[in-house]
Amino acid sequence: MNNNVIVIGGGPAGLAAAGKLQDFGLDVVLVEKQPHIGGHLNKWYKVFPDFTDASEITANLTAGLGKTRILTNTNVTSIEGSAPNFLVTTSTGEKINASAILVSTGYKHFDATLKEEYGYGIYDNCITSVELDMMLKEKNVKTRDGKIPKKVAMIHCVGSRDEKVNNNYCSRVCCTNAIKVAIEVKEQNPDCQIFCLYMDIRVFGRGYEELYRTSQETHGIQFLRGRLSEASEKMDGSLLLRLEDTLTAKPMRLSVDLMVLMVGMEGNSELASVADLKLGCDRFYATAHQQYSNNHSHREGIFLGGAATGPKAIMESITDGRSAAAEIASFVAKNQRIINNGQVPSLV
Amino acid sequence: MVTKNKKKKFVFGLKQDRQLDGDKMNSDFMQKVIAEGGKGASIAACMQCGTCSGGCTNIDVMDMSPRTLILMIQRGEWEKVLQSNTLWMCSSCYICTSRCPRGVRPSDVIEAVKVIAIAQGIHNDSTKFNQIFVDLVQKRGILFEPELMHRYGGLQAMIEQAPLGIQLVLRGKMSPFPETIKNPQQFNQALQKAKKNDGNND
Repeated sequence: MNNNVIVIGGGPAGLAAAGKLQDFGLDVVLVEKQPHIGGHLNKWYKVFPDFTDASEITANLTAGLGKTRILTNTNVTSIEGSAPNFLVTTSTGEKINASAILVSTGYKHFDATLKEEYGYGIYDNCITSVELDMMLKEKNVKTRDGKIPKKVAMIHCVGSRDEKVNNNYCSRVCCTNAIKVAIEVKEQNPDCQIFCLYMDIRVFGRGYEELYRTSQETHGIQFLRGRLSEASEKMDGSLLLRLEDTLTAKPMRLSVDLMVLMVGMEGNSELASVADLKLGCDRFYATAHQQYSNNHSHREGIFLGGAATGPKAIMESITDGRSAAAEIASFVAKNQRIINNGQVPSLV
Repeated sequence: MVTKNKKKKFVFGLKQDRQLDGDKMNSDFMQKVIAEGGKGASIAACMQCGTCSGGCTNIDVMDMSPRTLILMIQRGEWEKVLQSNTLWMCSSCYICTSRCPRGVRPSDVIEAVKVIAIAQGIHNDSTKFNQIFVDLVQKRGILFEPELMHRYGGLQAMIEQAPLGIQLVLRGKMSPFPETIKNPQQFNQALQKAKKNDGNND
């Protein structure tokens, strides 16, 4: 047995976990498939509810990495052996021994083209929340014609809470994110009228509800209760939305210059076969127990952290990554003690 | 109500107001209401929970719930708001206002909308009633209910309300004869003073 821990995935959870693990005195190898660490943080402009720069979070977490060995542009291709003696092979052909593995591979965004009635990829002025954040970052929220949009609609629950795309779960962060981007768009284009089309407003965290209220009172964001049914493109490139305004129980037509789809999260199950992990019915990795073992996978020595086990906000991912780090540190310490004392490892 | 809706029928029995035109939404009316006394009423903060309508004492006779009224103001649907009987059926009990989780003040909003409605000459019985009420109080210093009924709705209203009136009299809640107050002069002075200060008590 050695002192090595392999963290797979360099997003907020992986970075936070790696930082804590090396604080515990373990030798950490961070494997990231992208050319840069940071994960989805690299795509975001600011983060709700306090508008922290995403780059600030990445910088803070990276600063805590210490002597962590970072392997970018690298995938894990096989995991052999069992806890606490794993042999991990990477796509570069390197073989690394590890006593524990953390899977913090996060999520991927819902593919909005699957909701064909919304017209993503067909209509020019239908974009996703990811694209909007890029526009906000460049302070350049424009329609495809390069005009400043007068009316913008934020469509909640795209790819979430929707049996038709096989995602029955709520992605949890899109509501607050919609409110956050609505405020940002309004701040960058004060003349813009913004509508949020929601089913429920699920703003659950500290400061989130306050952000919702501020968006209404200070920024005049309008909330329309009703799921978008379909969008069609008009001659001038603007979009005609059809929905039911369920608060007055009447169908509504609304034209907007720009429509933003708040795409939900989907599980990143690439490692399921490599690491022999179980998936939940939501296609995120299943944990050993939902209540008290939510950083344990079904395999001993393989741990889970961050959005790999379900949609999480940045702050939650960081916390969950650190929680996984504590689990791993205790696991490694326990195994060291067993080896030192010559005890037979227990099966639990 | 049924007759009112009939007028809006379009060709082939299609009703014009069946579908909402989202493009008409604007904040002009809301700004007007805010200017007319709805300033601290936090209209924009409404999250449509319906606590106000759930507790409303006169909701049974209203054609639009307080929640819907706030929503219509947010969206600038001033015709619907000004034509609504909610304005006149509100008894200003302030239950809505005291229970709102977001600090919205529907009672104050309704008062502000009433000012706009009266200025626009919207017909209502409420202003008439209030005016008679004030006249009578000025005249006697105290209200004489049968007289109020007579002036408000004529003999017919008096007869309609008679059973209730008799019961009130029998229980000693109302006098069958006009009452007087102790010092009418002092009361009138107080009224004059109040009138002078009108408009300065915002």
